[in-house]
Amino acid sequence: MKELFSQENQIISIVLIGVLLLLLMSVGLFFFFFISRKKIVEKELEKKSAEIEHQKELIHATILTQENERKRIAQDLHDDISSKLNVIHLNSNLLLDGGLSAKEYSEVTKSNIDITNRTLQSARKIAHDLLPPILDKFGLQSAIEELVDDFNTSRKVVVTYQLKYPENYLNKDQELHLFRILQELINNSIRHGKAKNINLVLENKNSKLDLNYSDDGIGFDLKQAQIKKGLGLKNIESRVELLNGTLKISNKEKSGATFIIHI
Amino acid sequence: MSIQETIIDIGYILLALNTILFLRNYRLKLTPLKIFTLYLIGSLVIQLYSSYLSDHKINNLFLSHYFFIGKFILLGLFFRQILKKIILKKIISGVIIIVLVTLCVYYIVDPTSYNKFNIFEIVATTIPLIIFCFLFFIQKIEGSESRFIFIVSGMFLYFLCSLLLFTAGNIKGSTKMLIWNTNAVLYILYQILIFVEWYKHFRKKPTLT
Repeated sequence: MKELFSQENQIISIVLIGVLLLLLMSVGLFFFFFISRKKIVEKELEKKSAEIEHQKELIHATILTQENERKRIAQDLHDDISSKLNVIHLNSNLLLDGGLSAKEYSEVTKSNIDITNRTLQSARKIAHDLLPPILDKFGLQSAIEELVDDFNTSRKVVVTYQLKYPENYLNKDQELHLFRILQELINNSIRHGKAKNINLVLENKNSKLDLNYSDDGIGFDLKQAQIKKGLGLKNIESRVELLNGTLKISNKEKSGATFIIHI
Repeated sequence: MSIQETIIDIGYILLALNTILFLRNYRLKLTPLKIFTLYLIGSLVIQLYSSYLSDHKINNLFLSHYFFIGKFILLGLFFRQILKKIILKKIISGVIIIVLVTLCVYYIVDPTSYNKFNIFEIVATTIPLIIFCFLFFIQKIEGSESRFIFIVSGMFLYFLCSLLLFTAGNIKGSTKMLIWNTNAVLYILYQILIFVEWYKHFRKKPTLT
């Protein structure tokens, strides 16, 4: 016993206890390290899978939009063009068969010319809807003005606007995206929001483009709209994403919706 | 054979086994792995030579200098390879140079310390390595890639504890052997962790990233 308590042995036992403590501390540190690492990796995974989910939704929305657009074009072609061409076809057969009086002959010919004109107009309208030529020729500001004027003349809604768009701020593709966003917004306001008045401000602030859009419709429940994965909203979101912009939706049920896009 | 000798021999056997296993992967174009394999070979050679000397009753303490300084240089380079930040690589190079220059000056000023067990040398070569281990953990806390994590865990554990044991190495007392036994046990733990590293990451030919 005496020997055990000699000074050297005491130092040795202190050293051994120190080693034991270091060992415990290191093991504790390892546990801490591995657990935090696991948590961080899990968080990363969650984030990544949420991103993938979001991408999937966007792709889904894009495909659906494309299909709807095709359906619409097919319907337009069928209703406006094919039916009229059918009449022209019938009329032409009548003319070919002969046996018509001079009066009937001129009537049928007149009708043919008339329908051809209307078909041409329809074809132009369809093409215009697909890609407004004014956007390409005169830029975004004129295109938006034309769009808004079209809605104003339809008397379904009153759109007041204030546009200060610096020319060529966005490239052609981006201008088309912004134009489509506006189209979608106005259509939504009329169709779903039953809005009567729309206010639209597009301006250039601190070398950024701000689009402030508000209506006085019945608004919508944002959560529900997102649950339903409202196609229009997803579409707008994905276009804003393509523009590298941010989208803020403030929306009070029954008192209209406000969209602020910052590019 | 006493228990003490058995423990030490198990450590040697494990070291030899690890050296062979890592040598098999030497052809992989993975510089840190090559450096680590060199460290294992160096350790094995020094351990064998020192036990040969002690068997023939020749003072083998001078070998400890080669062991600690060689270990410091090789593992320093190993960490220089596996730490990714350029600034850390520069710091490691700086630390290696400073420590080596300091030790050179030390031995020029006091050549007699060459034949002793030099505590200053042990501290100067081990503490930087422990800090490098810590830096490695910080680097690895993000991301799922876990190559070398067992080796570095082993180093951290063994260097930290052995530092304390070695600094007490010059003490004379009846329970002195307890210190060396503890060290030998910890050394076995270190070698097991190196083996785990090989088993987990290099057993099958790894895909290099």
